[in-house]
Amino acid sequence: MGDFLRRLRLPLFFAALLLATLVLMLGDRRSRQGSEERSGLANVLLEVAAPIQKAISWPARQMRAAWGHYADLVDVREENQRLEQRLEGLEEDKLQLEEALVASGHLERIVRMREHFEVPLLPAEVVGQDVSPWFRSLLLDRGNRDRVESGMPVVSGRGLVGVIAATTPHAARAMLLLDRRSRVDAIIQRSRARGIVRGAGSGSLEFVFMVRGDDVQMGDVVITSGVGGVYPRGLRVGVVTEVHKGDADLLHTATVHPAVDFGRLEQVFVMQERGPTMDLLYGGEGDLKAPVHEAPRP
Amino acid sequence: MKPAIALCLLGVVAVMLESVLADAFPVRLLPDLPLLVTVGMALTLSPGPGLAAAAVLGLATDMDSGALLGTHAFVGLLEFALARMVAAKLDLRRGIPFAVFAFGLQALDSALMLAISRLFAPGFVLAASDVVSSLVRCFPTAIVAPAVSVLARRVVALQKEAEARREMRIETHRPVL
Repeated sequence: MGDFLRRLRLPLFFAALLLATLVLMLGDRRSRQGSEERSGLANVLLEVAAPIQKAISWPARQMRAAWGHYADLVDVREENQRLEQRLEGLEEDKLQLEEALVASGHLERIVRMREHFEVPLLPAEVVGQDVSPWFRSLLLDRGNRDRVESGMPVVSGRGLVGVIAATTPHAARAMLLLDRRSRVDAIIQRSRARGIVRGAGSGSLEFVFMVRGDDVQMGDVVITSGVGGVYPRGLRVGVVTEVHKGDADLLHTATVHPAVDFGRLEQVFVMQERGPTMDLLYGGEGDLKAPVHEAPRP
Repeated sequence: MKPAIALCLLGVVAVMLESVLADAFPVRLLPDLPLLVTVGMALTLSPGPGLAAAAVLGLATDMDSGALLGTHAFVGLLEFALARMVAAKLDLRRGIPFAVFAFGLQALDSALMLAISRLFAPGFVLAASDVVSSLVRCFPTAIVAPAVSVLARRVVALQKEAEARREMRIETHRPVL
């Protein structure tokens, strides 16, 4: 009997490990669907990953930064002259626009709108990329100690990057627009045609829209619609590079080149505001219950 | 136990290195280093500690991925078992057989990851380009495989050598009578 059990020990250990990983997967799936909190182990792993990643990627970042500084210096004089000329032109344009707005009485309304939409932007450093070719996410060095929560939009100077998917006190994982699970309600800036931008898993995005004439064309700029409450209105998503139209289909698709170069992201900004819809969608997902949650927002 | 910990650390370094490289290159063009270290574990460690080390390495890979927690650990355990079964029949210590095995295992790894993600990850949609990406990644993995195998064996050999030296020192200090 003892010999029989000894022989079974290894298969049983193997089965127990497999079962444990399956339980972890199912637990994580439930937490991502928002039905329960992210497991303690998941939070510990995410929390541990960020500082190690930061340390390991430091030499590579320094080398890239040094090369970038050198390349910048080469063109800086020419660029400076060009920018000065452009600034003069823009100052003139601004003055004329302000005059026109004041004249039409719209300036006050625009100031009110800016106050309404202005949200605090928290800079965060990208410390790691997803190692899986099928998921697209970033590891950020800010967590819920900095008031970062799941469901907050992530942007860069060029446009929308993605959304925070999980947080711990000192780290966060942001799901990129490119991820196949990503969906963004968007509009074409020119024609206001509405659709859904979804990640294609590769380097491009897909815009799915209802056909009403030629309201989506190559070169059109796609921006967030603000519908759904996850992303604020007007964030740049990308530019239409190809329109696919089938005669029989009601829904057509267009390929969108993202505004953000996801391969070169080093710093992003977390928009520290999420609407009631975001709370419903992401409430509790990945956020540890830390006292900072109860602190009043500025 | 110490060789298992050493290989585990090597695997964690591989995961981190891969994440840094993913910053500069598309992931499909990078070798799957954690997978190769898992196979290295299967070929050099005894089954018990090896399985535990493979699971820990899988969790470390999950830490750096948007996949569900446990996915890489689950796949890593299956790969560990498969590598041990194949190693019982074929000599995987030689470069070319190991590279061919790594090629096949990478394809299997991709198929398993996609299947698990399709089944469990909410909102994950399978695309035709995934098959191409999976096949492309087999090549860099196969090319790098022999080097990682040699490195894993070297790490284990160094650990065993250090342990043997410690045992010898204990022997010399024992009283003669």
